[in-house]
This record gives sequence, C-alpha cells and structure tokens, in this order.
Amino acid sequence: MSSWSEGDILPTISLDLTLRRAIQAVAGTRDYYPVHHDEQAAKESGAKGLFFNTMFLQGFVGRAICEWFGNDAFPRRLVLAMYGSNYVGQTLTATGVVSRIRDQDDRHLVDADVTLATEDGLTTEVNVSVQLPPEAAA
Amino acid sequence: MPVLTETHRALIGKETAPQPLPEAVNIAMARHWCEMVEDANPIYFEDETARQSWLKETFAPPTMLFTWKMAPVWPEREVVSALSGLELGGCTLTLAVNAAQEYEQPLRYGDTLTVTSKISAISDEKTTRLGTGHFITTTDTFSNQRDEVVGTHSFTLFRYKPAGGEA
Repeated sequence: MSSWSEGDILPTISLDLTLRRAIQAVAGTRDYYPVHHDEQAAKESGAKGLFFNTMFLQGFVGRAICEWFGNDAFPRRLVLAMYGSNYVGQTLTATGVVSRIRDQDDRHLVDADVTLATEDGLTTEVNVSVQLPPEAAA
Repeated sequence: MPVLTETHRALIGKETAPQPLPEAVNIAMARHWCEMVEDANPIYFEDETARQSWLKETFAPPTMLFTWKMAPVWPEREVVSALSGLELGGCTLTLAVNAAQEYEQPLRYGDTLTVTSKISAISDEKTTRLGTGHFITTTDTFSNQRDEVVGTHSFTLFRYKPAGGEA
C-alpha cells in the first residue's frame, strides 16, 4: 500500500505572481494572446488587469503534484475548472486533499482535489489523478 | 448579436488532418517552463535520476502538452486547429473556462508530435459578466512519431463580444 490515505491534507504551495513571472509565462507557454501581456487589452476584455493563462496553471499544478507525491509521480489526468482570473500582483496558492486511492489498468493512482486561490479567493478547482511508482502499490 | 448557425453546427465533430507541431520536444523549452513555476524536479533533466526511477529516461513536464502546439509568432505560421475556420460574428475575445488533460505516456526529448483537433461542442448564445458569446469545447489529440497517442487536451473556451464594447 502507498503511504497515502483518503483525506490527507497536502501542504500549501505558493507562488508570487510578479510581472516578471507573467513575462516568463508568455515566453514559457508560447502564448502571445494580448490579455496576458498587454494591460490595456486585458482591461478591454473585461479583466482587472494582466492575468495568467491556463498553461501556466497547469504547470503550477504539475509542479505541486511532484512536490506532494514524489519526483517520479506521473500525472494521468488534470482537470481545471476556472472561475476567476489570477492577476499580476497577487499570490497564487495551491492547497489540496487526497480524495481517493485506487488501482486501475495496472496503475496505482491517487486522486486529489486541489484548489488554486489568490487574494480574491478561489480562482480554480482542480482534479488530478496521479500514478505512483509500481513499488508504491506493493 | 452572434448567432449560432447550421454552418457552425456542421463544424462540430470534424477532425482536422494531423498537424506537425513546430518544435520537437526539447530541453530548452522544458527548462523555461520549469523556471516559470519554479519546478525543481530533477527527473526532467538528470539522466541518472530518471534512469533509477520506473520512468527510465528524462522527459518533458507532462503538463507542457498544449504548449507544444503553440504557433511561432515570427515568421508567423498557423497551427491549424478546429477553431481556425470558426467565425462567430463580433465574438473576437476568448477566455478559457475548463481544461482537461490526459497523459498517456511521457514525452521524451526528441519526440516529434502531431495534433488533430476537433470542436466537440458549441453552446447557444450566452451572456456572462464579460459579455455575450458561446462556450466552445475543442479536443486535441497529440501523437508521437510512432503514431502513438501521447495525450489529449479538452478545452472549453468562452468566445465573446465584450459587454459595452463596440467591436
């Protein structure tokens, strides 16, 4: 059995959403859609200011998954429901709880419910399924 | 006001031809990705760490999947997607609302990928706090040079005309 149990609380991970990081995100995700680098375009779109894109959030959760479950944990499924924007100047925080441990198709999986939040509160609900190394199932 | 027509409905389910992606899976882009979110996982870059694990070889962060299909900005080159042919009068802005990725296998450095893309759903006209438009769900299926599916990405976007805007 793996060392994880349903209900386990995952440690909080935070990241400052600086302007520099927004620029890194444009380059790192290759996303030049104006709302992510042009403040005026962001405001005209109805946003409060520059906000981070979906790929950045996926990358942040990908990092969190391996900090929580191990460097050799491999994500199998990642679902983001985005309710609010993550703005430059805020702090992004990931919290999570283990929701299920299961074996499927010879994979030992741990599911977790993850919440991304900023100073504005919850912005994104995330469901992840992560495959643990085969020895974790033994 | 943007209206959903039979022409739009006819696009649902039509899959694009496989599109070769701009760059092979590579270490430089993976490093920039990890810098962005301060991801210190050595399995992406250190051969020995990867070799000692059940994953055997280094690989790019799985969550980079969608980034491999982003189009070069210069010289401009479009990566044809299911949305390429979609015109929704006046709806020029896009906001992502849901994204589901599945990862079938690790993307190894040097892998060359192709993607096929389809629209899975287009909603009727809706109005949100941002404006009026349609929710569109696309599904991208990524394959490697051996024609093995490596991952899928299902994206729900709100394509809209901003509230109070003139565009």
